[in-house]
Amino acid sequence: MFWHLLSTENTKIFRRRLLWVVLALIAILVLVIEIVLHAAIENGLSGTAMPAEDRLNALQMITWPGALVNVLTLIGGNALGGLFFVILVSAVTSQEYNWRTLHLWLSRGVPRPMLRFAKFAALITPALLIVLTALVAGGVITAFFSFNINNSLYLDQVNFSQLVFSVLRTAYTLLPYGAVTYFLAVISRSTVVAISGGLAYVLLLEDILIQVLGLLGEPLQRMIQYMPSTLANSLLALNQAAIGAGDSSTAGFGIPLIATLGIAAWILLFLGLSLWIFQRQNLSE
Amino acid sequence: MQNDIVLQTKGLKKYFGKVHAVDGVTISVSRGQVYGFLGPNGSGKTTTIGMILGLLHPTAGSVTLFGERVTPSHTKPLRRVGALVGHPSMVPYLTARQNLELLAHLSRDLPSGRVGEILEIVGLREAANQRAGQFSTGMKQRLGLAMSLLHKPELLILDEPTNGMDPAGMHEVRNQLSELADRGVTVFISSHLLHEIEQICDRVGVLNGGKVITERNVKELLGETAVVKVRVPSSAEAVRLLQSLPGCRDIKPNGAYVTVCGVSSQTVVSHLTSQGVVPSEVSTGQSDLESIFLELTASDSKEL
Repeated sequence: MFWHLLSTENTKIFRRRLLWVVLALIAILVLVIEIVLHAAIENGLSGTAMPAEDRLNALQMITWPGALVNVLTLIGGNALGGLFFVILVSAVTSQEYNWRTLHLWLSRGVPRPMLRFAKFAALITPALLIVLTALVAGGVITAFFSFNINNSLYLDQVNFSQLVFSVLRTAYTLLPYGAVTYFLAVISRSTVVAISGGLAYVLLLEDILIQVLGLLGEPLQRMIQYMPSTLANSLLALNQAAIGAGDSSTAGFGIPLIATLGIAAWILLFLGLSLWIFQRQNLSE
Repeated sequence: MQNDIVLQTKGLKKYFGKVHAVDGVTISVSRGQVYGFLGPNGSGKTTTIGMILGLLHPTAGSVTLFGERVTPSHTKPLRRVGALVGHPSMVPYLTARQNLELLAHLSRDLPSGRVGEILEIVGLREAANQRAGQFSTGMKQRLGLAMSLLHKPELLILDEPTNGMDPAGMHEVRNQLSELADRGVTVFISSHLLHEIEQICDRVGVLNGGKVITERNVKELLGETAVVKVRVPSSAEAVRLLQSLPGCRDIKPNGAYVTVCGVSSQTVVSHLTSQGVVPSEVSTGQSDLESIFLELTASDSKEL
């Protein structure tokens, strides 16, 4: 039954206009950001006598293969990707309460934990799509810049198997933010509360928490490294090393275990809380 | 006979703070029965149905479906149930057909043409590819009914199924329910339309203030409340004599006439004649469910 439910939930998400609007907005934003970045770098290069190393670093941001890493960092959980994922998760999750569509499955004998778990699992595909959309949009525009600047894409420097792992890793960094929002949507049953709470967490609360922990000294300071954004950065840094290096020997390996487990723990914590609350909820008119 | 009971609630209670929405509801529905669940607005019908469907946690009491206990944590018996509760739930951005196809995913062994068949049955074939969110209230109700019937349930639980439907739609639904009942499907239906309930139900439970005030077979309920009217030479004398007749109630003099309930016309005539009062006219009037319902809920409210 779980796989049927998962397939049903995926169908529902894919037939929602909101998903495609979010993906289109991501594509447009990535294109705009890359174009602005390109213009800023071009201006910087022509206006001042930049040291050769700085010049190279600047160009790597808008040309292949470095630009691909740059796009993946931009769409990570603690950046643009997290914001859009929060919006998608809150709408998909809390609108089910307003439409009372949860009744459809529950009154047919679907166990509550299975339904909640399937609904969360179905959000993994949109997370992947968010990252892929950004990568494709950013990849196309920076391919154009690369030809313009270097007359080449330097495809030999792109490690495609590592690129696949990088997409998976980046999508994985979106999930703890999705889980926080999912929890807020379940507990509040409100799209507004879930969106505002989720965005506030991504944009403000986590940073404030990190600042506060930083001021408290050891051992509380050590908790900073277990915050979702720190864990996400640790995983996203691996994208930088692998793609830039173009070394296929590291493909799929070298995942920092603590970061991966830490993110999994955040996901399980908020998913578990959501299941626990949902199990106790009254779902009336 | 225990196996023939499809749905049973025992002492079911649901309190929302100080509000006792459902207060000790005990009912039982047998296989193949069409059971009418009646009650004024706010009497606790939808809350009771919510608990039967595992959507609400009861404060106390139990729900049993097909002999198996149902709670929000254990809803397996609901796989044999089709339900339409209040305003029908549906995914508004999907078409009627897509909504049904999603639900069809959950039921194994459902024939491939079942979605088309059910759209035809509820009269939504023409609108099958329209988004459900754009439907009128009546069309949504039809789609809700289609969703509840899709997997050929053994027990159908319907809360106000004809809400928002035009008279033709109501007639169709009534016919469909009668057909389902003929095929042996057990139907549990809550409705305000008492005329409908009277036509299709075998048994009714009447709820008021969260409590069941009566649970009877419809024929029994209607028979017991038949009104016998007799024309007598002296209504005062007739009233005095009828007061000693067992089972006789609601004795009311009205000029040369006396009306009574609870006993047959033959009993009234033979009792009066044996006491020397010969009626010159006798007539029997049948109460309808609506007047019985109003009487029951009004007298219960007074007692409360």
